[in-house]
Amino acid sequence: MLDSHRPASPGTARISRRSRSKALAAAGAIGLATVLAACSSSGGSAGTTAAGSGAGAAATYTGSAVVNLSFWSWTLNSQAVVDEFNKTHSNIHVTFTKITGGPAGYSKMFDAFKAGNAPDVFNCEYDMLPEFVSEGLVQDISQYVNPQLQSELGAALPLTTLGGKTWAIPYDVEPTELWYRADLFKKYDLAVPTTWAQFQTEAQQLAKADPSAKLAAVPTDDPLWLASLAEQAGAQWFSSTSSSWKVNLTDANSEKVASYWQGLVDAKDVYAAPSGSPQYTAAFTNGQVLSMIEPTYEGAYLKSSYPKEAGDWAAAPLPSWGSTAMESTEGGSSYPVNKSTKNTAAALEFAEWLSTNSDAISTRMQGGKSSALPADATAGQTAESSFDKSFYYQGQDIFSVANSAASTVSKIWSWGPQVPGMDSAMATPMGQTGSGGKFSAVLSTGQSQVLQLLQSAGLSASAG
Amino acid sequence: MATDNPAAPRPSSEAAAGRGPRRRRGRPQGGRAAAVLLSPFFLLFTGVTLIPIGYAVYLSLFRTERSGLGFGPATTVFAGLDNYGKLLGDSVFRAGFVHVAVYGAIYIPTMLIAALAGALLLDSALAKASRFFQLVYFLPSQVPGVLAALTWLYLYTPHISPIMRLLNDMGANPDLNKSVWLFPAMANIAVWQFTGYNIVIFYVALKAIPTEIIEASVIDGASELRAAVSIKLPLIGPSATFAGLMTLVGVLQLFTEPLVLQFIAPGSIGAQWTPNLYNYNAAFLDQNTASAAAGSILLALVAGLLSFGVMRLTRKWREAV
Repeated sequence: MLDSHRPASPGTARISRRSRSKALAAAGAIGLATVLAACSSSGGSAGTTAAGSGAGAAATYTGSAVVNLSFWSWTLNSQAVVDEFNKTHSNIHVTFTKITGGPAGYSKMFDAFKAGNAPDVFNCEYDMLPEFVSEGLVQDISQYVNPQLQSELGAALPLTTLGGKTWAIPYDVEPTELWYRADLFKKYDLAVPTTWAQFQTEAQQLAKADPSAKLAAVPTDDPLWLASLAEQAGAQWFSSTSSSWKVNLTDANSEKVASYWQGLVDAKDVYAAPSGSPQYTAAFTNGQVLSMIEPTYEGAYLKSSYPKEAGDWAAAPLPSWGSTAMESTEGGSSYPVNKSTKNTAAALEFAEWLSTNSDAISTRMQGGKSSALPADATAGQTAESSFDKSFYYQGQDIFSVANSAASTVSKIWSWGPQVPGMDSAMATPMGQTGSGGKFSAVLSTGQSQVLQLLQSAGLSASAG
Repeated sequence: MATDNPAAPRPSSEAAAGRGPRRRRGRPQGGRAAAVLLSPFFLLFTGVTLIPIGYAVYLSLFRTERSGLGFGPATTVFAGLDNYGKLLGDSVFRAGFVHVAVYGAIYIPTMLIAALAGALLLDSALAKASRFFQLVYFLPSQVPGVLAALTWLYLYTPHISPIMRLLNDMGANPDLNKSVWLFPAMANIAVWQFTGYNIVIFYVALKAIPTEIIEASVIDGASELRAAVSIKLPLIGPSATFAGLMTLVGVLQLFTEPLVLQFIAPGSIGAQWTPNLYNYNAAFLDQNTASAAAGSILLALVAGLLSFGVMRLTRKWREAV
């Protein structure tokens, strides 16, 4: 059960379910508009400096003594990627250790930092990065951000920039998409909805035509799913002045999203269940639910979770609120460097290689194990061309969907610290939405808990 | 004879007079040997129990503070009993104890009664193949807690479990998101796991009852049932109360079952549903070690007080007849 879909975490204590973690691992979608624009100019140089030691890379280790680095991640194909790096770099040797994703994996990382044997480089999702930064565990790499890095990853660098400093090499941005069963849409004669109004109408129609089928699933164990939908509607949960945080989970945009989904769940027009539970997987396996709202990286996980449904799944951009397309992101990973690493240049060289080198990307894509779209445009093109699309409906090029979705992502969203606390505090009311709880209660609980957590950490935080 | 030296104390016997000096030389040697033999235990106890508890108390007296946006370095500040005060004032922490109390109120009596009944049945004349059944009853306790909880997770999942389907067909509509279903469901997992273990323990205690007592009761005309209730039960009183006490301490530390059942009941089992989960959360996800240390000390104090209370209340049952 735990392997088939998103694992929650136990431990969590936040033993809460970060069901996205598994997906987040694979992620990699470029989100921002400028990436597409920058693609042609940076593409060439990123491709030729495959060895990572060419001039222009943000950091290069040029010593002759072999440096041993450790790398922790849960993303698939990581061992193969690390082997590829070791093959092409004689003076850096990386040892890969696989860990679990989600809160359990992060607990392990925090413990390792406390014990002093944390990895030099590790996979860290954007929403967890502020926690590592505020604990003082990762390095400020602002000084290494040179023009080449700017041109390769510039569009995604804001995601790892906190308090004016850069803290990690971004890997991907994950636009949230609508993953749907194209065959079942045809069977029930449904069009792919492009607006939320159309989505609602189709959900009602489907529920009436076939009470056992539902248009989409609401993952009741994933509060950050609600965050991505609020982001799409224009919300900004965390914002900051130079010295204090502003927290606003209950603004008009977020409430609009809450009442929209409340209506659908109350009318039983959508399926609400924990995404880490066996019944959720069973519902999709049996074709009782027709779509899910998940980020780009989910594509690869559909392949492993529902192998018998090859040729049935397709991707589409999220329906929009108005006539303008607007996207949101959910998750995405970056590679920070441990503050007490023995060799920062080597560690950064490895991290940059992971995000921008075409061999790294193509190795990662092997077997359709990752449908993440890298932030680096050239790497993105490599990903697109080396990805096995045969699983998807009529061989759909899911990367082109991701790319066009990425170009419309909200530019104002950012994460603050205490996201794990927020996630676990919101998990209980989110879990109750499946049996009568209110989505607006999820938002208000999040609002009060985040303020409390930030204030008890001694930070200045206020509502609004 | 003793009157040769009137000043010397009269030895009580000739043998005693001879043994005197030897005995005095023996006592210090005996004490040293005892110290040597006991030292491994005390060394381990100090290193593995006393020092960590002391460190936890020390940690619980501090607090980390950050300034600005929180991305700068943190400072550790002496907070006295602040952490304890915050925890006692936190309704979620207190609610954890309530959850554990309700769970315990369902689990402990059920399990003890079932285990006693099972042991009495095994010990009765009616039992056949008792060795085999002892093994069968004992096996679930050897399944690691997480695996047991996972097995029952599947058995509690709607649409997949035959049990849930049966309950639905009977019109019961089980929903783990409601307390009235959640607590018995959780207690059921522990009852399944530990009843057999306690059956074996009580069976051994029953076997230690001298047969003459049972024979005497039979001669007096007691039936099987009467002998079981009036003779055997009181005689294994110490065993039963000890088992109950150990179970109580275990119940206070409830962790695994809620952790696993969260997968299918995220709406009713929060990340801080029991005190142990609360402390785990604080330590490993909130990175708030001080609060976790304070919470653990509080939990230990509650466990200690409850144990003391139970020992006092059950004193008459623990003294064997």
